[in-house]
Amino acid sequence: VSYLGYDPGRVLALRRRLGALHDEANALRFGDPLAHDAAVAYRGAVTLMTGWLPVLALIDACGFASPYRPIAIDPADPRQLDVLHPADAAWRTVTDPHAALPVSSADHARHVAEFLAAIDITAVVNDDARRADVVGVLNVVLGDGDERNVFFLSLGAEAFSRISEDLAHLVAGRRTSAEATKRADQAAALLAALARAFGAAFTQGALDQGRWRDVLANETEPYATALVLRSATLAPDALAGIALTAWRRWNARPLDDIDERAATPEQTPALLVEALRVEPLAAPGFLAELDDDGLALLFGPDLDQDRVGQLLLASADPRVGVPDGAEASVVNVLRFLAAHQAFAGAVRDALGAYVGPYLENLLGDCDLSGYPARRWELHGADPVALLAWIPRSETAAAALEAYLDAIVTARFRALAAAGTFDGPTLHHLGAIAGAVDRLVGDAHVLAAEHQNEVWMGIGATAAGLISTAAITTLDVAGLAASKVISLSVDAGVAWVLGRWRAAGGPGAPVPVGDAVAAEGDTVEQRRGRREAAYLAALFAVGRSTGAIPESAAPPAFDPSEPYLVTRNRWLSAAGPADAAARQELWQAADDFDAGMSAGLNRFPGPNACPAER
Amino acid sequence: MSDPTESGALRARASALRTLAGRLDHSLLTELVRAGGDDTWRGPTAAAFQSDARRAERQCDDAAALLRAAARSLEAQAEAASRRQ
Repeated sequence: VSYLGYDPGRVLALRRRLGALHDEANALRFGDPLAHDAAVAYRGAVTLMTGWLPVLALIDACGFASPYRPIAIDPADPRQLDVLHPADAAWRTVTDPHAALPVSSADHARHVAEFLAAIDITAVVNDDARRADVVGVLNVVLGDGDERNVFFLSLGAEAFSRISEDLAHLVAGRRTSAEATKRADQAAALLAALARAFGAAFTQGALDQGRWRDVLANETEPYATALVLRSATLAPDALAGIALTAWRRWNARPLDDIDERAATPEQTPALLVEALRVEPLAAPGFLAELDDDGLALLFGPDLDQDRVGQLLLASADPRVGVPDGAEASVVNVLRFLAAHQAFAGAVRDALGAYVGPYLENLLGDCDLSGYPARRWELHGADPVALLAWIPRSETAAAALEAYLDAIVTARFRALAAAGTFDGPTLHHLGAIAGAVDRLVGDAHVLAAEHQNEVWMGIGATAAGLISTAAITTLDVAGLAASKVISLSVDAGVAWVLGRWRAAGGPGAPVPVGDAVAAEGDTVEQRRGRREAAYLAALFAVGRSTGAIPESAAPPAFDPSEPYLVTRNRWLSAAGPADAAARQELWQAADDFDAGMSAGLNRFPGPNACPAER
Repeated sequence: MSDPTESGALRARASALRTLAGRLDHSLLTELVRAGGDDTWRGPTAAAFQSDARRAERQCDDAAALLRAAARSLEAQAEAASRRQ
């Protein structure tokens, strides 16, 4: 069935015009013989149009047998949206005997947008049949890229904001009754569909990004914005920027937002955390810009801190982005938590895995060694103060140890392969290792045997990478306490090892599996095993290039004596053929050892390293 | 005051045709497309009316053009008659 919508007053005026046209035609005289053809054309046109007079009379006649039968006007009926615009409140609607004319897809998309902008969307959700009609119409329009873009261009950011807020009100009513929960779920589904399509149009560049960002961030209820962001899959910078503003607005005043008033179980901050957690590239930008009030909300009791911990780990995942991308966010979070450690209680376990990939950037000293990893800008903060409280959690301490060993192992191998085995660089690396060992030791939570277990786990992972490229699980004490943290450390450590292996040129067949700590090792013994393994790596690289003779093979670790004693004895036993090579290896181990001793005895200072930047 | 000569009669006919063309330029036929547009009604019947109104407007324009062409022809004949006189 086709429909005709009309303004009665204007149709009446049109009828009168056609009557006047009849009079006009009667008054015109085409007497000249040369005017004959013109007369035929004009009178034909007049006849054509005055022939509409009876049709117009029928439309407004309300006759029982008229093909133009009045129907009830329902601006919210999507079946009439190509005919009757909801804003045409004074119009009448009748059936139309003419065959429906095809409406272009672009016009249809525009009509749907005008329809949606004008109706009460909550009434649609509350009417099952009407909702099914609207969802059907939207599925078609939003399913086509061109129609979708026309739809959102016609709808405009303000109308989208209003619709989102109306739907958000329904979503917030979940659990107040069975009926409200049902409607909330339906509203959430409808909003998610609109948000997904909006995200696609926005990302494609079809919309005025500045305007839409501004409306969503600053002019929309934060709860509605959060619901949109959860489904929109926006680009990282857009997501981070909008989420940050919505977070601040929600946090500005208590009990003034939709979700707060409705005491919704899952409120704006939780929704935003979830949206950011699944988009790791957006999370650093968000965390870097949060002020102390925002961070207090993030780490406060209103949020599920397991999710917050996951957000932190996602934001600093070393496999995503580059270290510099995590700098501002990691430093901002550490600065806040170090000063407000009461807020860190529920995420402390995750913090070892959070900062572990960046130990070199946080603890590297300003020694002008030319070390490959840049010391981050800490804005005057003391790196020890930023980190020292973290290893009081056994899980965090274990994660720090795991990352330290992975970093030192991989870095040592890469330095050996690259032939840049100079003393200051090794000293720098050793100092980082010493600083972490001291942080963990000072925390007094991770016993030596647990540290050894971590080291053994790392050894197994490294061996797996070298021999089969398989990744083993670091199911060691402390880390095993949290599956999420364990998986994070596992993946991060494997990535660190793999990265340096990939950058390590010929690669060294380091017998890491043979070098791991024994269960009963003291920390000092473990240190000796490390040195022995590192020397073996250097020796292997030297052998692969023919620079070191076979007889210069460094000694294995002997747990009955300090490794320094072992390697001193080995050096003094050198012959003419290998004295130089042994001296070079001994010096490398000594440089690292000296750095580690320095790190154990003297923490790096708080100053930035301007000369190295 | 009428021109008793042949050229004068031709020019008078041409003038009448131009006047008639001018009236067609302002015919109600030229207003129907706007008067029957989207502000008045929407639907298949409205679309059919619009189609007819556009066609009628074109015919009206054609009629005015025919009248002006006829007027130019008469004016050329009048000019020729003037030269003969």
